[in-house]
Amino acid sequence: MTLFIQSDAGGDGTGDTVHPLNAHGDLIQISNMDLGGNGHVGYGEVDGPVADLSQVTYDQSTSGPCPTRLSSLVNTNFGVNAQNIDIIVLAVGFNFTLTDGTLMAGNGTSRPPNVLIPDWTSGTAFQAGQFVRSNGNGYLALNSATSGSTPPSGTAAFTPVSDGAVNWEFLFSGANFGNPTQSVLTIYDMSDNNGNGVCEKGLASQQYDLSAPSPVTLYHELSHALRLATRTTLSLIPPDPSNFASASPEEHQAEVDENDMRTQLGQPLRDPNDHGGMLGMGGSCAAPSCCVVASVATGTPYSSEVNALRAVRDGVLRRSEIGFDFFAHLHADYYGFSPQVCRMMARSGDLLARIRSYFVEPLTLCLDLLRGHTLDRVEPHALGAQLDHWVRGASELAALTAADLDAARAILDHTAPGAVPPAPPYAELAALLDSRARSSPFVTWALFDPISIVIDALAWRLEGVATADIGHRLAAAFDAWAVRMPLTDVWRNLSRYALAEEIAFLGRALVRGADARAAFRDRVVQHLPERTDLTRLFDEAWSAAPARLEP
Amino acid sequence: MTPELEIAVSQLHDDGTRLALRVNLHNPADRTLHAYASLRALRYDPTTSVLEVQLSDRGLAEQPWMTGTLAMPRFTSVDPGGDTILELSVPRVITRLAPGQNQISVTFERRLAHEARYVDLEIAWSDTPFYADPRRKTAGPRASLVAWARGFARHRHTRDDPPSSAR
Repeated sequence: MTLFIQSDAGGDGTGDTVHPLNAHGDLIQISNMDLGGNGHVGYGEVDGPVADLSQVTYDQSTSGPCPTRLSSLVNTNFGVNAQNIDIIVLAVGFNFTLTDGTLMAGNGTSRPPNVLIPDWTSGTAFQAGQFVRSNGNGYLALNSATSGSTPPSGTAAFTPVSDGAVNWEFLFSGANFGNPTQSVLTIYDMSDNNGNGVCEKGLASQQYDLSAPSPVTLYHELSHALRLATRTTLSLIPPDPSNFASASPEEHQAEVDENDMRTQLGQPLRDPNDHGGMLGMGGSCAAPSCCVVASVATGTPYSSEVNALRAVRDGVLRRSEIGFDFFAHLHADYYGFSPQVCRMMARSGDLLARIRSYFVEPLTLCLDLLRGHTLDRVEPHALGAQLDHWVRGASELAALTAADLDAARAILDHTAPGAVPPAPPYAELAALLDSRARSSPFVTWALFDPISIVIDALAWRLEGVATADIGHRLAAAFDAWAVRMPLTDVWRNLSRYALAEEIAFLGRALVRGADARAAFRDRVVQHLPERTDLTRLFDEAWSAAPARLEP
Repeated sequence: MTPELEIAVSQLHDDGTRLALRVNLHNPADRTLHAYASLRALRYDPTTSVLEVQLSDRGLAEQPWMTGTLAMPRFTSVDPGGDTILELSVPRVITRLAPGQNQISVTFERRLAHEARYVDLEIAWSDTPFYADPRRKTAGPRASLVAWARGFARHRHTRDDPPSSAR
């Protein structure tokens, strides 16, 4: 049992320093969402030997190279130190730097501990991949031999030096290898370069157009960590001396392994002979991550549910300035609690199934209905039929009972006056939402409220309400919901032209009913008292997409 | 001799989640200049209240150790006599490993960059785009980037808004 996750000493681990819950989420993805089955319990965790380390457990129930590698890492005693804390994973954010100020954004690194770096001595048998310390520097053995009489020296990177028999590669100067622990330390950026991504070279495209999702980056680093723990690190010298991006034997092996993870995710492969990359800008090469809760609950970040959520996010909403800014706020608030939801799901298969059927499936359905109501201009009475058709094709939604819907409401709405408290299995989830999510107007509006609308509609369906009536109720609920969209400061910074464009977009994609439009316009007018041209702007912008008049 | 790139922080806004820096790059030369557009390093010294925002690889350690990728910076160009705006997002709090040896687990240092009174900005530039030097067989990619730079434009911005001490 040798793999541990670092949290912030003295903190709850969810602040701005380290992100242990994201590490759990990425490891769950590496396990191929293996949360147990066939008599095996799958991925899990227990408290570590000290308060700021949690120990990963893994009883593999699924096949594949990535779950098998994870099982090796978790269940092998590598003997790195006496505490059997062989590997520590540290998930950091955009704000993490190395000692010299270098940002870790969009990258990762693995470091050996001092306990694996003995002093160089002459006449000693060294194995390739072994580290030594000499003249205050750290070196890596490039071949296996009995050392000669000249201690390795020099600090030129990528330049082997010989002690007369063993060739050594300079790695670092100073007291340690940037690793203050007794364990192999794996550090990686879980923020995907603050959402801007990092562009790596695709094997098929031969272009730097490949994203690096955080589970892939972590898996790459764990490949290094495995060889560090087993003292089998390969040379770090690029084979092509005229091209630093040519992958060294060590990086080549990590990228070959990394491609296993890409295959598991259904991603294009990286060119394993190229270690180059470019920091993304403005979201270029950002990994197609979306909704970590939905990814875990549906078993993959590429499920139809997650693809649908991603399509709405990136294909519709984030294309506008206001939508982009809204999602930046939502993203920040959502990741304040969603990794913890993933950890709860990792502990309870029942909770995972409930979250999928109570929340993920209704949210996916809601986006489909909302698209019908706005962009596709489906008439209200037909919305009910659209819902009925969807539910008939979705076995989990169709199986929900009135008691299930009450349980879902109890988790979402239990703070409302007269609401039923959530049942004990869900109390922890409800408490988490209370403390971390409910105060966010972005989470409430974008997630809780749409789910509630669909839960209400499913209840009406169970009660036998006619589909046309359900459709009218849904249309009214969507209109009332649209009016409540949180308004951010980005509205204040738009030119007249840009604002007209944004309002036109919202008329097409969000606010359809005539009464809703009037109410929304009044809210914006109140939000931007300095602008005197708003009413005319709204009239002009929305004339191209006429409102649906109330019956 | 080509005149040097001129830089200035035209806006620094603390929105409570990050420090948004708007940087103006002015090219007084009669040929296009090329400059870093990616943050490479951040340092904050609370004793001097100076936040160093570095868009260059000068002084940074070569990285011959295991990494996910050899991440090269992005570049931007500035037309002759023209200006280019860079929008930089700097975290309000910088975190790094606290020094130590043979610890059971990691401890951290948090530096409250949003309390900075001064922002020292450095941007590497040259009068040609960057191409890796294939002759450079031993120095490493960072040395290649540093060698490319014809100069390092520097600017100290003194904040006129009161730095926030709130977290």
